[in-house]
Amino acid sequence: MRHFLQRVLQSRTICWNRILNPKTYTQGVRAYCKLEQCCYPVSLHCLNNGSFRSESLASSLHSPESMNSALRTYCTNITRHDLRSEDGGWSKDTLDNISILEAVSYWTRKFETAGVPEPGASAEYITGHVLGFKSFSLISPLAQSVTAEERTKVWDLCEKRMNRVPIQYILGEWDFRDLNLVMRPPVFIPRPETEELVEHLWLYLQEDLTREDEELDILEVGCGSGAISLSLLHEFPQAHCTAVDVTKEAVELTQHNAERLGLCDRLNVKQMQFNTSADFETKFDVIVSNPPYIWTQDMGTLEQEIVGYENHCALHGGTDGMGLIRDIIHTGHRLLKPGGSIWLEVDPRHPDMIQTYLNNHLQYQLHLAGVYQDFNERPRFCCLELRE
Amino acid sequence: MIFRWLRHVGMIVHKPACSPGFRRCFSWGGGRWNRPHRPPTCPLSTVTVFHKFPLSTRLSITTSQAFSTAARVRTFSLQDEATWSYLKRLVTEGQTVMESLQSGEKTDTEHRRLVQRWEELRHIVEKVQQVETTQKELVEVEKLLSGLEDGETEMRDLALQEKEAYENDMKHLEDEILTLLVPADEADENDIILEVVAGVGGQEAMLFTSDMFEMYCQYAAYKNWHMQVLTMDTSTLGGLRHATASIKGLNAYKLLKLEAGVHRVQRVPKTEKAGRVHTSTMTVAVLPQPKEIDNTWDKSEFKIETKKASGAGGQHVNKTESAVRIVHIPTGIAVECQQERSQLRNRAIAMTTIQARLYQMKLDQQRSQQQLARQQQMGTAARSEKIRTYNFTQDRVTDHRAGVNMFNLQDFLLGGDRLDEMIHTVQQHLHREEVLLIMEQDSKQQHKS
Repeated sequence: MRHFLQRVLQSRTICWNRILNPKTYTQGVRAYCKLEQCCYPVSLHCLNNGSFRSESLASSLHSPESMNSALRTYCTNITRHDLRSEDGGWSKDTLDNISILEAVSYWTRKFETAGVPEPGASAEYITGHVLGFKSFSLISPLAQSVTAEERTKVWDLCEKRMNRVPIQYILGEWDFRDLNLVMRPPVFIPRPETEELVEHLWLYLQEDLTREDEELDILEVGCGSGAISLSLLHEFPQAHCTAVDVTKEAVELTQHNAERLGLCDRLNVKQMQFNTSADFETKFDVIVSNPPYIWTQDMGTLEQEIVGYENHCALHGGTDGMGLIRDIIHTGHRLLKPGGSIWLEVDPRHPDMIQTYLNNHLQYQLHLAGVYQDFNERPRFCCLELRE
Repeated sequence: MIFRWLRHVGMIVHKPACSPGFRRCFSWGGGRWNRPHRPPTCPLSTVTVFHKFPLSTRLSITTSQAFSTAARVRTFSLQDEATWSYLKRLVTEGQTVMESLQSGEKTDTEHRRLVQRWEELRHIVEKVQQVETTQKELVEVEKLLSGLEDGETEMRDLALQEKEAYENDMKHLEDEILTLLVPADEADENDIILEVVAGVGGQEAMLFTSDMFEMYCQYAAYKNWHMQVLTMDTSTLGGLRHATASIKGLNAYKLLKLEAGVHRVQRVPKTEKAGRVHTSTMTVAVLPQPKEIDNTWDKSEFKIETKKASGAGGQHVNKTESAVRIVHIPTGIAVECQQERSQLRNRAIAMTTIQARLYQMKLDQQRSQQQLARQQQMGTAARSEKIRTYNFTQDRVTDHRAGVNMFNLQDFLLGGDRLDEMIHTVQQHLHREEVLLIMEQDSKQQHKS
């Protein structure tokens, strides 16, 4: 750690002398991080410029991992000065032997000026992906330079990002819970909230299932990349899934992901329009869905990444966003085994609407058994149980 | 003159502390130059300081005596009115707890608290109900007995037998309630480290320490505990300066914690040529070993910080930043995780990390507490702080806490039945005192409210 720091300091000294006038240089704050009973003198010149995040220092006192991130922020800040001094202009020879941190900070700044959302995270994910890491924090801070090949690849992918292509499509893969799934436009990209939906369902089923050999039949409506079905199959070895989607791309992608993960023998993928007349050979214990639930009025407010690349029929749920939800409720009660349940991810306005809808349609024999909040504390997940 | 006064001081120091002679020094003055009824007048102002010292000591002795006699007069018994009213209060509390449990509509923590309290009270309530039924039966038997005429000897015998059985039951119930009332020590189930150290008395103390260590080894074997000697520092004469052993087994801490303290021996040592009786000491420390601390941190103690979507969230946005930071609010410890792309997984990793860190802290804390406990148990190893005396000349063991005498010392030192009996007697005694203390505090609180 210390050696690395020293090296960084040495290599940057020239730049500093040029950028910072001698006065501010001597005023540099010297902070000592006590970490694992070793003292790392970290001179935080960046504090003078107000760009060093003090909370990352505070957290670095507690964990060695975040020491890395503190150091990285520090290094990034150095390179940022570097860039500013040269007015963003890069000469040919600087491009040739560029370090990882420099590449990330260069693209972060470019994304920032172009108004691309999450500029830092985008640059880090792309660089990490090219170097063969899932996330940037896994890269050893000692790994310094990138090869020319890696550099061109990073530049290619980042140019895509400049066109507001979602990160998941650029990388062609993304993680959902424990699984790594292939992502392909225009198939809907699973959101972090959906992971929580599976978590709630997992807890619910865990309580319910006592025997290992008990059959568990699951129907997923609107499977997209297959995220929900595949993680359920992965976590419940006794489960059998039927996944349906209206688009051909989604069905193909789900099948592809299932084959990659070796779960296709328990998964049955169908391309069909799920409506009130939908019928299956078996009945199900659980119907789970992340249906399109965005209201028509909200479709205009979506980010460019979503509108421009993701399939609209996976997003748009009609004027009140309830289009497919009503279909699932209507058909679901007929498809469920006794004691079965329907799990939905919905818009925060929907749980109340679902409650009213169920009150008006008592013949479905369903009741709203639970509404769960997502990590933003919005009511997001609904559990509907069949009345006994 | 000063010499005389110093001799007076010397008289007290010579006597073994807390021996009758020692106490006599305060009450009658003691020493050759003191007259029985007139305390010595002090010619020098500095010596008045000395006057204060024995006075205060005497005071503390008398108060402690008064306290212990008071405790002995007010014993724990089911016939005792105070005890009974205390039990009644517990039963009513149990009923209210049960009712509020059944009424539902409570927060999670409150519910847990109530369930815990109910678990504590449940057994007591049961036992008290049993006592009540036994008492009713007893009253009926009494009635029957008084109603019997002289001729019905058979019936009388039967009734008497029954009465005896009920009385036995009552005794058992009383014991059971007593053990239930004593709050369980958190470490009772833990494995222990037993430490013996020679105290005052040189080689003789070391020899005695060796005897005692042997006794505990045998006791562990008697109890079927697994014992492993960790360190042993022997002296040239075959004594033991210091030894530690780890003991694993059922109730090891519960029973052996009562052995912690200063043990005094009075005998003619092997090293003694003139045949005089010496008094030496050794100390025993019993430390619970930290067991697997279960992760008992409440969810509300943690603050989870994520990159929150500002808009509607869900399908409306596509956020990839997944860093999670968890802060443990009471201690201020923070852990960050951003190594996974999934926020949920990052959260899980951060949670395990922070819990491991908290566990480490708890362990350190426990260790320092243990250090403190060891110091308290070891005391200063002075002869006066003893908990038990082994008097070889009289072939007697006296436990000073319960005030019990036992004879046949050699048998006792074998660490079998007799040691077990002694430990149980002391335990019973200490339980009684503890329960009385609890009851006193409870009644005080009742008066206040």
